[in-house]
Amino acid sequence: MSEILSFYLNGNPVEVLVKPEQTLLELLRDELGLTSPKCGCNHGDCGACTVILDGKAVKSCLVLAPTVKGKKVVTADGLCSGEKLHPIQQAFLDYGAPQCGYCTPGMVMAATAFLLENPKPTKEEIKEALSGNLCRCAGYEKYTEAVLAVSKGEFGLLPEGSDFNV
Amino acid sequence: MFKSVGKRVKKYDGEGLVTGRMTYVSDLTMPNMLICKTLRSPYHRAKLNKVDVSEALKVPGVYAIITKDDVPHNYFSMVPDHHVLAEELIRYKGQNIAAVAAISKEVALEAISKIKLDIEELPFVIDPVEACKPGAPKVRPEGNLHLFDGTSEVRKIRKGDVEKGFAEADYIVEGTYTTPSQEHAPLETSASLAYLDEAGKLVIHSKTQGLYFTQGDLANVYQLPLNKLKFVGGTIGGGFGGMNSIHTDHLAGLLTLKTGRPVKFHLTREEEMLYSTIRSPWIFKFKDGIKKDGTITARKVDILHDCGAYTELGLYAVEKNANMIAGAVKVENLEVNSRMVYTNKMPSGSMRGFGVNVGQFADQVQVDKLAHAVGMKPIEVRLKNSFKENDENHVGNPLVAVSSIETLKMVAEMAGEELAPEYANMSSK
Amino acid sequence: MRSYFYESPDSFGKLFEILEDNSIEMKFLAGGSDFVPRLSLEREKIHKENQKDSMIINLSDLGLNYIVENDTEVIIGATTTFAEIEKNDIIKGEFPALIKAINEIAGFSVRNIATIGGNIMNASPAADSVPVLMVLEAEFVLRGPDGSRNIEAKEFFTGPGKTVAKENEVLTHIIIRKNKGKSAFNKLGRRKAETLSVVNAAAYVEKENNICKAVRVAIGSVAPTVLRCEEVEELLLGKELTEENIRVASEKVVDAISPIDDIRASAWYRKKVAPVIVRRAIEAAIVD
Repeated sequence: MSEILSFYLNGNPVEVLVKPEQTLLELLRDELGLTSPKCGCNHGDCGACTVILDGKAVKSCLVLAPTVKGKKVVTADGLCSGEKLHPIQQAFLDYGAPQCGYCTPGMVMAATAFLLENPKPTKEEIKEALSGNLCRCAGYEKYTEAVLAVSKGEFGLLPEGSDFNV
Repeated sequence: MFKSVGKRVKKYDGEGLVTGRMTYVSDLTMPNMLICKTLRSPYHRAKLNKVDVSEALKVPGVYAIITKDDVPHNYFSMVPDHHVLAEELIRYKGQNIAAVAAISKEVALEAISKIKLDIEELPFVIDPVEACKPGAPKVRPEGNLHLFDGTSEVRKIRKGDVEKGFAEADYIVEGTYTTPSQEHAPLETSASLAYLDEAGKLVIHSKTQGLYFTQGDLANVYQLPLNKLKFVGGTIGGGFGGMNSIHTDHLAGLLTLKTGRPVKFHLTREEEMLYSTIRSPWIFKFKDGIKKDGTITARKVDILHDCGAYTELGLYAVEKNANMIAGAVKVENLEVNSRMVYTNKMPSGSMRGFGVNVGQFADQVQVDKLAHAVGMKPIEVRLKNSFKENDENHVGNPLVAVSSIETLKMVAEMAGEELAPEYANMSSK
Repeated sequence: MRSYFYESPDSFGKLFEILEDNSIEMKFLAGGSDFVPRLSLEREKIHKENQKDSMIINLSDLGLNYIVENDTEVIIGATTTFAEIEKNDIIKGEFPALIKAINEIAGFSVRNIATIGGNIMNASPAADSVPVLMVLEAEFVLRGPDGSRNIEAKEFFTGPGKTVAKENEVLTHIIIRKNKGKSAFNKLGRRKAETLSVVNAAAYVEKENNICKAVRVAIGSVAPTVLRCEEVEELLLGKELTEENIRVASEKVVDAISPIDDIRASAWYRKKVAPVIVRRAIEAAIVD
């Protein structure tokens, strides 16, 4: 039975009817029309649906929608302010990391949340962090290099974690 | 002089990709849109007597259910033998039997649960070698081996005289190589959105890799003139050859024609994995003759391609495979026998190389074996037998701008392999 | 068509009140990393028969998210996420093997939601946290309408997906005794990361002058439940911890296990690698 759910989406309060069985991914895509989280497998394997929930990367197909009550959700299209891309997005673009691009929004969110936790990672740690995000075009090397470049400050300062605390 | 060569070029649609604002087919929705789900065969091979949709049609929210009788022309694909919806003989598990358009996924699935099938399971064959044997269950009424040009079970290439070549050889080297099925696994599964525009034209947003192929193919299925059928392509979440075959466009369009409403058909990952086309298995049997000095005197290759239940792109793959199978080595005496067999599995599509790279895998391993037989380095055998400028390839095409020797020498250098002067001084010219 | 309902009780009183309704199927939700995809799969299926309506009960608001310690024990609340356990200083200090096991569960975005209680109650034979909890002799505390009961880890599982918990009991916390020995975890997956175990094993060893004074070994993904391998333990106890003794003892694991062929590996392969993974776990547990 549907109920009204309120939470924060990319900084804005949202009220939406949610079904008990809906996933956060379905809620975002089907009810709110926000399609930057992609559905690749719906089983938590591919990572294309990764969003940042209360400051942490989660696969939104693994999150039951009613449980995000009062929480803060950030998606890839909510990361950039106006025309200005987030450093991770700029790095992925400049490194030519996206090919078909379907995994990219998930990669962006996983990498962003990871760097908030571990701002100076090794290449191995980056690979480990992105291991839950599949790229069928096999752009892993460029994604990894781009994240490394961001961690070295080549794309400017990362917005503080507080940016995710609405 | 060059604006882009040697430089990093920004992907023209990159900003849309990194922000997630790019719209893929699976992202599309429309007002009044219906959702399509299909009833698929539970059996690998079966006799379908009757499909009763009367109870299913009563489920509130169901707009249409179609079966084979609702399809104007029930055949599609490059070799148009693939049934849009199953006829009497079901050929593979997961073959579409009926398609439902309903207001939601839940309603569509509910309706499918109420479709009654009068269906008899039959013996099936999924092993390509078994399928070639007399008495194997027939995947198609006309038999399991494909008849090339309608006459021959074998597609042949003949050059010189292999028996003479084998007689000249010091060693005969045989090898059998197999490659398994492989799913394309694009990150975005197959999806279509169909609707009728203001002028009554059927518009299909498609993940197809071959927009005009698909348009022509489906104009035939719908029996519509091309000016009544518009295809919209664009950004897709990966194809890898799998989107050369039609998985969802045909049914989305049919249901839109039937209901007049937009219809979206988006496969789940399970459907994409289990029922879409694949790179199908191959078996290669090589017999080569080689002289002590490393000259390859003859090559005989017997090929069996497991095509699955329908031809789809299997024939094209067999054709390309046969022309390339003898590899990048010059062989004066050559015999290639390709056969293609139908089995009760999902059909063979195209995947990254259309049968060429699976053949090259077999060829390259075989050439290594030849080298071991005569005690030469693998790269020496390749260099010794390499094509040169103006040679003819195995099917009689003249070769120009040949650079295989130069390429091999570069490989040797990169691998730190020292070449003897007789090889180091070779040239393709 | 099945209807779903959702409740997120904030007290056990409310929880047990909800559970009194027998007309509806009750399902407990912890982190969701296993529950939600299973639910999504169920919703994609064509169901021939009518199914009971389903009540999804979120356990996250019951205040079970904590890690505390006293002189002898560490207590982990059931809905504590793997990410929280991984970063916790108490766990880092007392049970590094648990950190090692958790590190190898899925990827970090899954560990951000997956809970230790969920991993236990799923009762998967391949659960990576369970072998470690078993060799640490953890106790699992179940709470029902009539009170709580403590159950030893090795008595807790009865089959794949099955535990001794009754339908109206929930796991509230896990008690792990502090100990003087050393434990270790070893896992074989099909890939280096983001993979389920083909075989996993944990070992706990106390030693004096390289003589084995106490040993506990557990192995996963080779039987209907995670197993304690007493055959291996008996052979090693009191012996010198030489390479040869450990190898011989590890071989005994083959007598305890009953692996099956599945999507991840064949039974044959599991029998071949089980002694190796056990040996590696023991060897890691005796490194000074």
